Amino acid sequence: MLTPQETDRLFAVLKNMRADGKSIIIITHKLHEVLSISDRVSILRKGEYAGTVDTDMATESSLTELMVGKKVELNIECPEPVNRHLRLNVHNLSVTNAEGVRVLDSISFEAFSGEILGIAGISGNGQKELLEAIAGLQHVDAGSSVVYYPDDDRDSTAEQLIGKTPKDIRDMGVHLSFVPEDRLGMGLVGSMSMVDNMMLKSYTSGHSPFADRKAPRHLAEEIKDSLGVVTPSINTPVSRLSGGNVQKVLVGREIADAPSVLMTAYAVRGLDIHTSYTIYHLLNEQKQKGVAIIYVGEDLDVLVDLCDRILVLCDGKNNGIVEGRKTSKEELGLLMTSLQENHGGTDR
Amino acid sequence: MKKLLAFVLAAVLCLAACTALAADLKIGVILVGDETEGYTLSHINGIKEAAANLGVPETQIIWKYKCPEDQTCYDAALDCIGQGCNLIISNSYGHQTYMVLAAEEYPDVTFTSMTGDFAALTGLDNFKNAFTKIYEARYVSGVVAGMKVAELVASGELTAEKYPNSFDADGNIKIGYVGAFDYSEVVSGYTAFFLGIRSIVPNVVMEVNYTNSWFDIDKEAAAAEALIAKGCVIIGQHADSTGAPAATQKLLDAGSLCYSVGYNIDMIPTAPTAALTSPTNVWSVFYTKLFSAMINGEEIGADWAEGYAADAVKITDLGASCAAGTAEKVAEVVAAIKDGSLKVFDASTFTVGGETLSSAPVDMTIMDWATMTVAYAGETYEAIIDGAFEESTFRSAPYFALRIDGITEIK
Amino acid sequence: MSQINTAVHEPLLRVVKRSESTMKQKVLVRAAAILLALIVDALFIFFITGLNPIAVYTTMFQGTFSTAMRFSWALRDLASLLLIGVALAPAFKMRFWNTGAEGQVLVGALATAAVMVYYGGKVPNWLLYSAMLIASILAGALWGFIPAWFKAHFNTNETLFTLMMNYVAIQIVACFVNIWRGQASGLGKLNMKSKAGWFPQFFGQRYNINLLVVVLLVVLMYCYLRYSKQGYEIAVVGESENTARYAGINVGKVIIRTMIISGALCGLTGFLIVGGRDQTISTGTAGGNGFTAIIVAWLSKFNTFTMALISFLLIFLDKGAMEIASAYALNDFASDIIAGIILFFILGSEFFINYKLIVRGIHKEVR
Repeated sequence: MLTPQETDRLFAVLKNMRADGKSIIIITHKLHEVLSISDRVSILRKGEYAGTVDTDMATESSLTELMVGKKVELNIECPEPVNRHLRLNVHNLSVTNAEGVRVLDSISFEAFSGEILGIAGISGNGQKELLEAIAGLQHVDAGSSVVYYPDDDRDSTAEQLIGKTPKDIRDMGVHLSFVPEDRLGMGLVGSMSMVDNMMLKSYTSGHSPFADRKAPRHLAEEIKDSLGVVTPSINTPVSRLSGGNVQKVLVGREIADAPSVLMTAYAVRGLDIHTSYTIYHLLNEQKQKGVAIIYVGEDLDVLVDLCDRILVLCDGKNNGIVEGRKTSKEELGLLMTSLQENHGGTDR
Repeated sequence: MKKLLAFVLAAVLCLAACTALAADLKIGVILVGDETEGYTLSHINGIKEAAANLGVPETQIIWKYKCPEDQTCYDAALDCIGQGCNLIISNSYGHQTYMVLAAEEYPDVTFTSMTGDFAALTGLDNFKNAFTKIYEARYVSGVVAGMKVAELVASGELTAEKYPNSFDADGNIKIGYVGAFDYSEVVSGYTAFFLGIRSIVPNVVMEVNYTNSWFDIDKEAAAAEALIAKGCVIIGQHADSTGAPAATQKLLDAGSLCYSVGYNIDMIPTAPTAALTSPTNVWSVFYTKLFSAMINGEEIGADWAEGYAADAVKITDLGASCAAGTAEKVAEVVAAIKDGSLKVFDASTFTVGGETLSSAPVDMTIMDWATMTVAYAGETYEAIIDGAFEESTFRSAPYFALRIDGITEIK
Repeated sequence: MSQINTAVHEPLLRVVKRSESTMKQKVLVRAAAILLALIVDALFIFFITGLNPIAVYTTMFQGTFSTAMRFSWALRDLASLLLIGVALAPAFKMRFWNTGAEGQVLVGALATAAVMVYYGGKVPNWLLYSAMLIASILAGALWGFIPAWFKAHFNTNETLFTLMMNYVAIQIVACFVNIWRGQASGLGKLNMKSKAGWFPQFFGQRYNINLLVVVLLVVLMYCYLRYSKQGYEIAVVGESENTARYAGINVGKVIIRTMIISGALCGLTGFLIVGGRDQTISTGTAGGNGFTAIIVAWLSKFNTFTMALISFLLIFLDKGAMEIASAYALNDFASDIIAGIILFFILGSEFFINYKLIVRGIHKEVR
């Protein structure tokens, strides 16, 4: 993935090549890039040719309409947080990987209910480790702390999540939902049906040695209908579904758990624009329900539009937390690539 | 219902037995190997020959090849009975425990466990053991080997100067023997072989190398090679493959001084210049007697053992390398065995622990060694009668288990 | 340079995965496979052995079906093979390649035999049978636990580890057989006189108890894998350890627990073989079934009911081959080839149920 500055340089090169008389074909799903560089746009939809338009005549919404086949609302809302309370306090979180490299270095931040906290950064800068450490899937260095506040009153009870397994965390009654980057390698079991995937985190419920499949079946039907999952049946292995539908199943399950904290990693990677917007809307819905959301993303436009605050990771360090409403792509890009003197600073 | 069925079956079988003719004899043969293996082949040929002698058609014989010494044997016996067999033969010792189970269940079918040792002790009328006095033929094959050694010494070929390895510290010439297991059957055989050699050449010693397998070409070849490397000039064997003769031929061609005495089959095709002869069983003698007894409704005892007297054993054709005069000497020895003037285990020809034996009690009891209990109680007999150890007299299976002086076992 | 070949060279035959086969397709493919097998086999029988193929097929069929006794033997042998298959099912479902069933059966059999030898006739029967049962299960479980523990803690390669454990078991059994046989040439049946520890006759046969147990376990294992929480955990761990950790499953614990179950069932099989079928022990007690069962478990995709069918097919072919060898005085290599050809085609048909061949130039989609 390129930063905006890098993208600009690439486009400048491409424009020079066009001036030299070369023909250029560029494949992208970023509509503003298409509009800024191309002369003509051909659109493919589900393996079929949907049409070619002159770029001068096109807008984001007209292109989207061609891509999706129907009119789509292309605004990402970012409502003001309501009922904002401290949910998660991450302090001094460090992770050293098996090769001895410090992939996360003393990360500290807070996440609040009713707010979307974005995490920006070039991929591989510690995003995966950060979320997995909070979820109890990652071994962390000594001194790391992740404190969870179940109640709105921050002085009441607080639970330390470090040193707990995902099962411990769940048994404590913490509704921590996590949409991991690797959907079929971590979030879901590809060879299993939607029904069996629904019970992945809840199969232990009840005292019977046998697993209950009635509730998961019900949930699968519900998610299939409410999110419009395209599948022959809820008994079809999820690996047979398209990427967008796989993600709907995963996000649907995680939201169904009525989370108090929802973490998503690259939730819209590889998805068509329509599904992407469905996901954004779902996140906003959760935000308004009072969920603390941590959104790891790579599309800076979306990060800026969607998130209340954005933490920028650079080289495994917290390179600053910015206000989503006040920042720009360019500022984020700069923070992603060059480490600040006093990194780990407070909100700007 | 089951009892009624058993009764009817028994009645029918009895009726059938009373009017028995050659055509009514149906034989189930359970074999540990198949025709590719010498021991089993000699049984197959013996049975076919006996059947032909008595006019039993081949279609009346059911063959079960490669039957392991386990439950499979019992199944095979029952399967043959299911197909109408009234005589079941098994050819390996280990089949015996499974044959006796079937024999208990089917009293109207006759079971013969070849080389077995406890039929007489079970008290079952329909369960038999049989063996040949193969030790007699081994003695004779020892005489053949002894003649060869004597010739080598007389011609000046085999001297301590030329082959220092072939003589021990006391000047005895080394003989080698490839044995399968350390059972009486093998001990009896190699002792007879050794005594046969020593009847011609007094200064010999023998080493026995065990393979712990009845049939293993590679192990037998390796055992023979090891013995030849130690200087052994004759390699005898009680194992069923051609491994040892082949190895002996190879080393003879390579310049070693070594000759082979095989077992079961003529080894000349395998080792044209190394093979002297092979002791072998003539199973057709027993099978003919067994089949004719069945056909004529005669009783045969629980144990049957015969040797040269009934032509139930012999040695195969002499090889080209045999010493001059061997055939004459063999004829003389065989005649002496037949008329009883020569006893293979003559107590004056060997010592045990330096002593000449005047008494050798042998206990016929079959032990269950796992639980250290008596499986089949048997009597104890004095085996030395008239100055010789009586082998295969108290039962058909060999019981000579004495380790005589001059023979070393390597385990 | 002016002419660029734009056509991609298409291979003569292409293999394409079928999306989903209908029941009718599956039946057709399998029927075709059997027919083809019989034709190819007939050619082999006629031209190589010079026999009448129809007569040989009849004989083959008779190997299992000609008498009630043969059929009951086939079921008895099927019981041993199928039990091991059932024992392997949870491990294989977990993608833990337990190639050590042979050894796990052997140690179970050895424990059973040891109890028979040392306590036979000295304790009441109910106690003797219970001790045999418990000893066999513990021994098998131990043999399953060891490689699982190493896998869980050091991520050792379970295929090699379990395979090597077979040879350890074989040597231990050989050692005990050698001790127990004493001065006899072979071990023979254990407790031949007292019959202590031999299963009682049940509907006329000792091994009918084995059949009862195997029927029970086929159903139980099916339910365990399909409906239980532990079965679900096994499936998740088998699919992806990351997902299992994500779901809060203790992967190491599941691996160890499942292998204890797998080993214990193999041990139980050893108990049934010694008590109900052989009443003795040797290094051949498992008879290679520990390896054949891998094929059974794999082909059936860990469905225990399918396992029953495949085990029966293998036993049928085996008995058929033996009967051909016996009836026609044929070398058993030849009869094994005859049975092998049929097996080859039946296994091959599984490929054509999942994949189809597309010949160059024919672009008609056959669905």
